[in-house]
Amino acid sequence: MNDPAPVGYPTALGAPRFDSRNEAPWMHALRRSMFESYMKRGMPTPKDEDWRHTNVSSIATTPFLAAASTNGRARARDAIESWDLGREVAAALVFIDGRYSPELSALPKQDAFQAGPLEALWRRADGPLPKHFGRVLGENGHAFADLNTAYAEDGAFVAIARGRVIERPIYLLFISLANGTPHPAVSHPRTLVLAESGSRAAIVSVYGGASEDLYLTNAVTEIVIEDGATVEHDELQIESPRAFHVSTLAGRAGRDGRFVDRSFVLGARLARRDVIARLDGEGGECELDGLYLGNGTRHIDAHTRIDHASPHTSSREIYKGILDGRSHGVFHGRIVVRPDAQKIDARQVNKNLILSDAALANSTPQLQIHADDVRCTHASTIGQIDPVSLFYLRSRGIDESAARNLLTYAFACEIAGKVRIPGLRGGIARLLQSRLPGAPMELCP
Amino acid sequence: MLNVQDLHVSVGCSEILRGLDLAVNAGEVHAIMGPNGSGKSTLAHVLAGRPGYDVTQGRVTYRDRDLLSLAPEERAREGVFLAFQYPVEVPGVSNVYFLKAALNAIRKHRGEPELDAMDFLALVKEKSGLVEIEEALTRRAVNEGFSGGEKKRNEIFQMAVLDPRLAILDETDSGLDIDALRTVARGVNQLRTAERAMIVVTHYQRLLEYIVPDFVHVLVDGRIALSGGKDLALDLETRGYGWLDPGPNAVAEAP
Ligand SMILES: Nc1ncnc2c1ncn2[C@@H]1O[C@H](COP(=O)(O)OP(=O)(O)OP(=O)(O)O)[C@@H](O)[C@H]1O
Ligand SMILES: [Mg+2]
Repeated sequence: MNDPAPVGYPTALGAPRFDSRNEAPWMHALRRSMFESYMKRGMPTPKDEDWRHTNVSSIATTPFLAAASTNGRARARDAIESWDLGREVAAALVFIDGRYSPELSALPKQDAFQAGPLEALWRRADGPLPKHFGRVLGENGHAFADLNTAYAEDGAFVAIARGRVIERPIYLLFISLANGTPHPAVSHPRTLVLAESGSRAAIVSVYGGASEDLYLTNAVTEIVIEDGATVEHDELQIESPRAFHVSTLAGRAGRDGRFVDRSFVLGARLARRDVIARLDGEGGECELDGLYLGNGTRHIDAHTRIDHASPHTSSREIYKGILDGRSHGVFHGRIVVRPDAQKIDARQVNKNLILSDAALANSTPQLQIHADDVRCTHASTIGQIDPVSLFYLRSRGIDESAARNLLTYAFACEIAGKVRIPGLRGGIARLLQSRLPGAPMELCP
Repeated sequence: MLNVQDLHVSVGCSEILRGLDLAVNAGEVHAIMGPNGSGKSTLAHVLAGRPGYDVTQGRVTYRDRDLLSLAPEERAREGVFLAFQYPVEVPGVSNVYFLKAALNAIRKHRGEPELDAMDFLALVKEKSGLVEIEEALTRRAVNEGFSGGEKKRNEIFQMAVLDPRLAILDETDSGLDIDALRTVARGVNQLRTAERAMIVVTHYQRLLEYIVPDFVHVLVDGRIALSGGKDLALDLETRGYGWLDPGPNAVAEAP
């Protein structure tokens, strides 16, 4: 147990009122056990191995309260418009400060998948939730994930029916308006995706802020990928510059299941994202890609864990950071191969591009291999723009600053170019162009 | 066009070029040969402005300007082009984008209007035909995953598009098969004009059968040990470099 909690987060919220919500007993019990888990762990401190480089005391000492009911619908609409993927999506679920907004969402009638708010399902003793909700995360979460389960007010549920292929993505938009309270606001968005066997779907999650205020988003997403199913998840984090963003994504893929996660961390003053991927059946694959951009005094921490729990599973991971100003980027990539998991192929790459003298990157690959017939590679680099490439471009007549911008943007494009949804890819490219000065419009992706 | 006088260049604490003289006029092709490590690429890099080399003595004028005071991009805009011995891979930047940015920077410097996408593509088509580089390659990331020969062809393709005054080809023939060698040589010969000069660094006399030089220089130990006409290359082919005195500059007898 760590130091006693200050009157900040989550103390100011008060103990969760488990029984006031009219929820089913299983949910009630889950919330209670996760809260107890938090009480045991306490807030992480830099003494915890997994939080060595990321100090969350600024969160723990801020008395966040739940945002009051929303009256900033106009601002929400503006935010949505800038992230409108239009006809490219099969369904859109919009959450304001962690609460579902039926007016802003679009759920066309169809039978290939089910999508809607979680809140109603928490009241039910039956259905898929008791079996899956909270189970992917299991004991693998940290204090923030515990608190999400204890305090979540609502979230998204998406279930893809057995064998169905959803061509267009299902879009989840979480907007923080954080208004209506004189205090800093917190929301606990929650998502459960269930891809039944043989199904295939793409999920896009966007976390954005339309607030100048300090707020906290503490999100958890669970993705269940049954045998032979595929889920491709793209996540864009563009919280406001003063915001804190902590999120946990837990995905589990069964036999021949495929789990893809691409993360773009472009916002928040402090961002911590954990990905926990578990390959549970033979033939399972996962692909984790990430891009994080730091400037000013921003702090970004990307933690990933890939658990090869079954033989004949493979994973690919590429995380890239671009760090400017006095920003700090942290990458920690753990790969676990269980004792009986032979024939594993795992490849991990982390590359950091440092643009200023004061920016800092930490990169920690951690391989825990307990089987012998495995192929695991990892590479990690922290460096400035390659002087040879820079000279090559300059020797063709491109001036130095343009060449630097070009190389920086190209570095980011390796990840951005992988996004397969044109509207999202274009949106990310535009964001990158606005964040990386002089990035050429036509280059990519 | 180019005048190199008593050039001394060091990297770290070792002196690599040790008093090199070279004069190149418009319309001329100069071949530079010499043993591995004698300083050929160093000379090429110093002329193109690569950082990391210390010029400790001597001077280089290019079209009556002090070349060494110009940034690499300024040299390129003034018409200096280096085809690299080891072309650089630039992931994420497409060849055509890169070339368009380069060409327009050069055109702007010359006071010419930027080329629009249509005109540029027409130019790419024309020049890629000249060096027989597949158009698909021009759309891929610069040199990424290119074979050794494709990289060399790509250098000549870039040269053809950028239209330099002084082209320095550093072992462009190394790693090319016979057909590719002919194609590259044909490309180079088509760019041979009375206004343009070329410095061709090579280890093989064979290239000089296709690109016939006006002068051949032998660089030994950081100096031009011997200069002569095109037949000097043949001599070197049979006799090697061992007999050359790396001492004071020597001039071969006129053939
Ligand atoms: N950056 C550097 N640091 C240290 N030594 C260098 C560097 N660049 C060149 N040298 C040394 O300078 C000498 C000349 O190198 P250079 O590449 O110019 O030779 P070269 O004539 O082009 O040889 P080759 O025919 O093999 O291409 C070599 O001994 C090389 O090791
Ligand atoms: Mg060389």
